[in-house]
Amino acid sequence: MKNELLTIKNLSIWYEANHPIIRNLDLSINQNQIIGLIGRNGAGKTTLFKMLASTLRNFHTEQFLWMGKELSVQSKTFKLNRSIVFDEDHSFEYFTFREYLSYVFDSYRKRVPDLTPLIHGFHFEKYQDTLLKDLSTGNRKKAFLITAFALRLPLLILDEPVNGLDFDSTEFLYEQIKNYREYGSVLFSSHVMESITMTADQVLILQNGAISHSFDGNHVNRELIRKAIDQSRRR
Amino acid sequence: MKLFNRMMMGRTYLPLMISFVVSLFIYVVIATSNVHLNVKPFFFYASTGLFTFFIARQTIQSMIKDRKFNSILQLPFIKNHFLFSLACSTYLYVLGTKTLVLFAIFSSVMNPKLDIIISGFLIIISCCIHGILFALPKKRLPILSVSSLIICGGLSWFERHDLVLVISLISILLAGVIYIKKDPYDFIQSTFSYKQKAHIARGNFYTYLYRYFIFHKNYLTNSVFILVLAILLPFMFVETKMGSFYLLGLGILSINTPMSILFSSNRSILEKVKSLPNQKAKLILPYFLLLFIWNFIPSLIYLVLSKFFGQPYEIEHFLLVICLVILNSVGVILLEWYFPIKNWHVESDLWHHPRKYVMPGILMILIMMVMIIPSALMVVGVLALMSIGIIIIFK
Repeated sequence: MKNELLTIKNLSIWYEANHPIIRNLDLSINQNQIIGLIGRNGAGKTTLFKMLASTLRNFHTEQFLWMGKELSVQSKTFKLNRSIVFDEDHSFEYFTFREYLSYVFDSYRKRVPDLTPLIHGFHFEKYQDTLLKDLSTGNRKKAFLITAFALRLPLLILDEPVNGLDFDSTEFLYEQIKNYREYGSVLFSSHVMESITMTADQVLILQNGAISHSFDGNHVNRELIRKAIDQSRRR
Repeated sequence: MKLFNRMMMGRTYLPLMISFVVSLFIYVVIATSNVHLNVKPFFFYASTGLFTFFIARQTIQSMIKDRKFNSILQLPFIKNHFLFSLACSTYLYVLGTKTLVLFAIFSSVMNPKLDIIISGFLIIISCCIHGILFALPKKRLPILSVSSLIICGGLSWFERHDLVLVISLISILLAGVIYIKKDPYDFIQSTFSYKQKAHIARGNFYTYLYRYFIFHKNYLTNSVFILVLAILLPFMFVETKMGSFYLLGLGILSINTPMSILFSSNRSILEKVKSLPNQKAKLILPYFLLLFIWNFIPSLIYLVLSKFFGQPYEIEHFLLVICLVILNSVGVILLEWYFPIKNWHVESDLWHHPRKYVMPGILMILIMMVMIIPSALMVVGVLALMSIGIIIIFK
C-alpha cells in the first residue's frame, strides 16, 4: 500500500530457544494511523515493543519495511523516526526532566520546541527541575510522555501509557493520541478499553504471540472487542 | 530470613555454593603446594575485617537504593525479628559469598593457630554488623563500636590475641545493643523526604555521571584507592625486589570496577540508550574519553614514580601505557554494551563479578608478552589502533 509506514512480516521473538513469545506475527501500520493493541498479561505486547525499541537480539522477521524500504530494526533511519515510552522506565534517573529532554532531543538532532501546552496539559509545571528518581510513578510517566509527544516523529509507540496517570492527565493523553495523526502514527497498548475505543482507528488483539483479531472503522467498539476477547479466552 | 536470603543470593543459593567450592579449591591448592608466608595476624584481621565491613555496608546500601526495603516494610513483621533476620542474612551473604574466599587464601598461606582463626572470625562478624549499621541513611557515628574496632586493631598489632578475642566479643555485644534500639524504618532512604532540585538545563553524559557519582560516592572511593595504589605499587615492587616485573603493575591498576559497570549497575539505562539514535556521539565517545583519562592518570603516576624509584624508563613504556589504556577503555565499553551483567541480586555481586578480571587479564598477558619479547609492543599498538577503529565504526 502506498501510505504504509511500517510493515513487518512473519515476526518471531524468543527469550529461550524453542519458546517464542511472538510467533509469525504480521503487523502493518499506515501513516497517520492510531493502532491500539490489546492483550492479556504475558501476551507479548511489551516484548513486541522491546523489539521495536531495538533492544532485543533474539528475533527473526521475513520482512521489515519502513516506508516501503527494507531496513534493519537497529538502523539509524528507523531509530530516528520512532520513539517509545515504556510502562516502567527507570532510566536516566539522575537527570531532571529538562536535562532528559535536552539529552533526547540532542540524540534525535532536534531542537526543543515550545512545550508549554504539553507541560500545562499534563500539570507538570512544578516538576521540571526535579530529578526523575524523585518523581512519583505518574509524574515520571508524564516526563517520558511529554518528551515523546514533543518529538513528533512519524511513529510513536506507547506501552500502557494510561497506567499511573491521574484523571485529568488521562483525558489530556487521549486528546494527544487522537491529535497525533497530524504528525504521524501511534501504536499503543492498553488494558483500559476506553483508551482504545476513544482514540484508535484500528484495534488489534494479541493472543499467544499472534494477532488473533483486528477491528477498524465502525467495528472499533466496546461490545465487539469484548466479544472477541471472550472468544479468545474460551479457546 | 528466607526472604532476605533470596533477595541477596537468589532462590537457589548458587553464589553461596560457588563461593564454597572456589574457597575449598583455593585452600586445597595452596595448602598442598606448601606455599607458606609469614603474615602478621594484624594484616589478616585488618584485610578480612575491613573487606567485610565495606561489603556489608555496600550490600545494605544497594538494597536501600534499590528501594527493596520499602516493599519489605509493607509486610507484617516483628521489629526484632526483622533486624535479626536482616543481620543473619547479611552475615550469610557477606561471609559466605565474599569473605570466605579471602579467609581461605589467608588461612592456607598463613597456617594460623586456632586462637587467631577464632579471633579473626569474631572480628569479621563484628565488622559485618558494624558495616550494616554504617549503611543506615540517618546515622549517628556509633562511637563505641568504632572505638572497639580500633582497639581490636591496636591489640592485634601487638599480637594480644586473647584481648582481641574479648574486645571483639564486646564489640559484637555493643552492636547487638545498638540493633535493639534500631527500628526497621531507619533503613528508609532519607531522599524520600525531600526532592532534589537541580537547575542545569543541558543534559549530557557528563552531567548525568556527575550527578550519579554524587549519589554513589563509593564509586569515587574506589578510584581514590586506585590512585593510592599507583603511588604505593612502585615502592612495593622495589621493596619486594621484583622491580623487573614492575610493568605488571599497569595491569593491576586497570582493575577499576565501578567505572566498568556503569551500564550494568543501572539496568534500564542500557535499554533506553540502545533505543535512542546517535548514541555513539552522545554516549560512547564521552564514555571512552572518560575511561581513557580515568585509567591514564594512575598509570602515568605509576610510570613516573617507578622511574623515580630507579626503574628503567623508555619511551616505549609510555607508548605501552597509552595502548593499554586505549585497549582497556574500548574493551570495557564493548563488554558493557554487548555483555552487561544483568542477573545480580545486590549491587555488591556486580562489584565482584568475574567479568571485571577479563580486561585486566588480557592486559596482563599483553604486558608479559612485551616483557618477554619487546617487539610485541607493535602487536599491542596494532590492537590499540584496531580498537580505536571499532569505536569509530561503532553503530
